[in-house]
Amino acid sequence: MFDLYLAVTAPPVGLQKLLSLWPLWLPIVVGALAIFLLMPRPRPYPTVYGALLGLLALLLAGRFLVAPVGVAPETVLFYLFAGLAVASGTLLVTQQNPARAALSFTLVVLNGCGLFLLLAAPFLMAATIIVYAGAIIVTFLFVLMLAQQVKWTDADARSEAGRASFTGGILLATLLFVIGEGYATPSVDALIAGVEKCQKELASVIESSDKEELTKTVKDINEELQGSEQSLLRQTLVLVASHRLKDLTQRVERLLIEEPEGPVEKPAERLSKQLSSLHALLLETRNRLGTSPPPVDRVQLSNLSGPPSNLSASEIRRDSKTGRPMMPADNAAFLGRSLFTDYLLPLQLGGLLLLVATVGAVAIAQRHLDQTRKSQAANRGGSGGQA
Amino acid sequence: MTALSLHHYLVVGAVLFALGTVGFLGRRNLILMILSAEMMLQGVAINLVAFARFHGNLQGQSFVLFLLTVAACEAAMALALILMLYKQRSSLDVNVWQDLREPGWEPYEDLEPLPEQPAPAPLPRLTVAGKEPKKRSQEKSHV
Repeated sequence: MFDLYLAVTAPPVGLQKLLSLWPLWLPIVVGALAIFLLMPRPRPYPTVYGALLGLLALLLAGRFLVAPVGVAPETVLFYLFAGLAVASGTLLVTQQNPARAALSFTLVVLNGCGLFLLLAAPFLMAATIIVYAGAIIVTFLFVLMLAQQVKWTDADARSEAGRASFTGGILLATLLFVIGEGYATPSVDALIAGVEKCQKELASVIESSDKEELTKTVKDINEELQGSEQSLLRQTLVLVASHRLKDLTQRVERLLIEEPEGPVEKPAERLSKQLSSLHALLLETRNRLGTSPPPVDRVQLSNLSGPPSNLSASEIRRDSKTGRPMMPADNAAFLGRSLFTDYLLPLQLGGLLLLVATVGAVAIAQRHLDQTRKSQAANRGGSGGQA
Repeated sequence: MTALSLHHYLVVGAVLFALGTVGFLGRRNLILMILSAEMMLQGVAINLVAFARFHGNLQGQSFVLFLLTVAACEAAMALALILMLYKQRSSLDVNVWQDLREPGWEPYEDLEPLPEQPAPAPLPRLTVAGKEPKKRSQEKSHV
């Protein structure tokens, strides 16, 4: 049974705490400043300053807001899509020409679709491109053409740049602080790296089968584990992993005391097995960090949208490399099953909503035309009477 | 080596959401405000898909489909309303509608004048291809 317990600790926030959170607010402050400089206003600053600051903010965010991980195709694509999405979102907000803003929104959507693809949602990617980049953007451009103005006006050239970027910065800082407290994984990452190091050392010792070397390595491993146990207990919220870790350190100690003689291979292999099980547990912990599903014996969740999230760890198929749960390859079919079983009523309501919205849009756009025609007719009638 | 975690995707979603807030609060063009609101929805969609991936089921993705539906409805209604507002005052500026504010509030006035802007570029003219026909009055016969 694998249960996660959230230990909610709320230390009082003082100046010390705020200063220690500089990796969080430094990119946000720089980004808010960049948006402030870039937003349209009567006397604009040179665009170069804002653009440079924006680039700096993007780099800082990539370094400090999201923990950098090793180079892999997925990581490179993630940073590419995320960076482009944020950059074109900034363009949307700061663009003076509304038509160009609509086009940069298309870029945001396309890059978001790239992220969807990385997250194993190909059907949603296609649907979003068709609905957003196809239908909605075309409607926006159509309305822009209907409401065209030759010169730029107050609406395009003025903005509440200062107050808006201040509010946005505060909002983002709050969101990221809460997300970081719940979901950031640096301590578990450090622990995984430590365990991987231990595994490597142990493997080399098993090959050389040197008794003294083994004793030394086991001592090293013990220190490493104890050090990371401290950090795990201080920061993360996962009791199971730390219990397992404590158990393992005790076993390692016993290994040192109880079996001073005899063959090296057996205890070493046992230790290596335990280490690899700890590694798997840590990977799983990393992916379930911050989630607290309801206990499986009390709440029965539907299994029609895939395995319910409160299943025990052993019942969920996981990718052994990353520890992530496996998704069905046939995305569209399973999404359809989910929609037509679990979400049948919401689906019908959604269809009804679309119908009502269409009728409403037609009614709104039509009403004004009728009224102007009537008033024009009334005017004509009045003038005709006078003549 | 470790892979990407849920935290990475949540951060991207939060940044897009905050950018949308800045655009909605700061810009004064009605269409841009609606576009910013759509960008906030996009950030939320990334969050939901990321949760679906890391929970290993498709509930989050179903939510995103409903989100798409609601976003499409919202865009249709908003654009119809904007079109009507534009027909009434022939401006997309949200400040034109500030007489709808609560009683007792000072009106918001733009103090700083907009700078001189260059005259719009003239429409392109096609060069005449071939010989220009004579005007009717100059023609000799009207057979």
